[in-house]
Amino acid sequence: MDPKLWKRLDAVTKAFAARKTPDLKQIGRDSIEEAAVENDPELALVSVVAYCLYKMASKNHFVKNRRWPRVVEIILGNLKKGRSAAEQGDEARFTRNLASIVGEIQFIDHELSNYAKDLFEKAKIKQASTAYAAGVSLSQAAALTGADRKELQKYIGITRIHDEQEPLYSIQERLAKMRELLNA
Amino acid sequence: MKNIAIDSSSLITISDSCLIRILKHLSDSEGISFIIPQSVYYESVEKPLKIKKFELNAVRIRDAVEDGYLKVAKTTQTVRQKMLELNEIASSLCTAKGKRIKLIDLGEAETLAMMKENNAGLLVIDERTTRMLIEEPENVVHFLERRHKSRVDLDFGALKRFRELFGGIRIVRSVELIALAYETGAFEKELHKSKQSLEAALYSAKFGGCAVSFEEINDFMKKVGS
Repeated sequence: MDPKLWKRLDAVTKAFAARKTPDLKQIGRDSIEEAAVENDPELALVSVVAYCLYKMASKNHFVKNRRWPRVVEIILGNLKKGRSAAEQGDEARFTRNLASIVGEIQFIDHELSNYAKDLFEKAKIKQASTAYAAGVSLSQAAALTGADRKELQKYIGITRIHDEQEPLYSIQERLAKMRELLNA
Repeated sequence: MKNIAIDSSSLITISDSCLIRILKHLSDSEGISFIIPQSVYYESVEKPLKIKKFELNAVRIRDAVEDGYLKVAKTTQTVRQKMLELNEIASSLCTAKGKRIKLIDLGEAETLAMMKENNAGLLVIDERTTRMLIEEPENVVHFLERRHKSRVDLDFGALKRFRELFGGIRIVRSVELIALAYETGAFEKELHKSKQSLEAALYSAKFGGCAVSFEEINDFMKKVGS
């Protein structure tokens, strides 16, 4: 497995242990941009996990809960095991450890959150939108993180992603091309 | 009849905005046959029919197919081969740090692949990357370089092949379909004809995920007569 995978897990572990939320957010962003270019779903998963941990560690209703220290302990334990599995190139063990972290995130989110849509699903969409902004297509971005394609499209619609680029043709020009074809 | 292919991104936008029946009115008045590939039908109807949150939209699209103004094109062996070829070409167009960048997925590739076989010269697609790849592939490279702050190489052989296969395709988005419907009277069969309703429909498409900017809509609206 690519060394950058366990290096990223190292960084996530350190940032989460120290509750450095901006670092977790940045690691998530860097990881998904790299995953988009390299079509690396494992790195994309690390990115989604980093984003979930950033969100959880930023919210008082998580960190002030009496169960939080135990949650942190379990997640850190699995991050370390996942890192070691990645370093040894043991893909199956890496996947199991990451799945345990995801399970823990979903469990605590279900217990403590007020929202119907779970944090992990939202994180998949958020990170996929960053992959889309980085240049890959909508379907490719959704496939990378496992996000629902429709949810992703809607999410992208409320961001500024489509306002950041100079259009090649205006609406009038495209309309004229369409008319031309229909009248041919 | 003139065949126009619709990608799932545009179909979702139009259907989500409750404007799917403008396709019927455009089909009737302009002699257009709107077509989608099987994978888009699966993604837009069969799969979401089982999810309560998306069921209504899936029903709308299924009704459009049953009413005959939206047709599902069969994925023949030729289409399948072309889809795989396109997927391979699109994946070898851009390389960064020695690694190929997979820009599009099979879903987008299938829509493009079925166009020639179904004699469709126009594609409605709201998704940005596939559109850029067809219209301005060199710009995809600049975009990726700006974004990733590293060198991205373009394979000119792959680009030539890509252009041979898909160079002649014209592209519009759901916003242009809405604008055409406004112009031809198809729009007023769904909403009262007014600048406000047109503007609202265009913004609904934008917020639904159509790759169009505020500036483009504003510029267009300035030129629309009251």
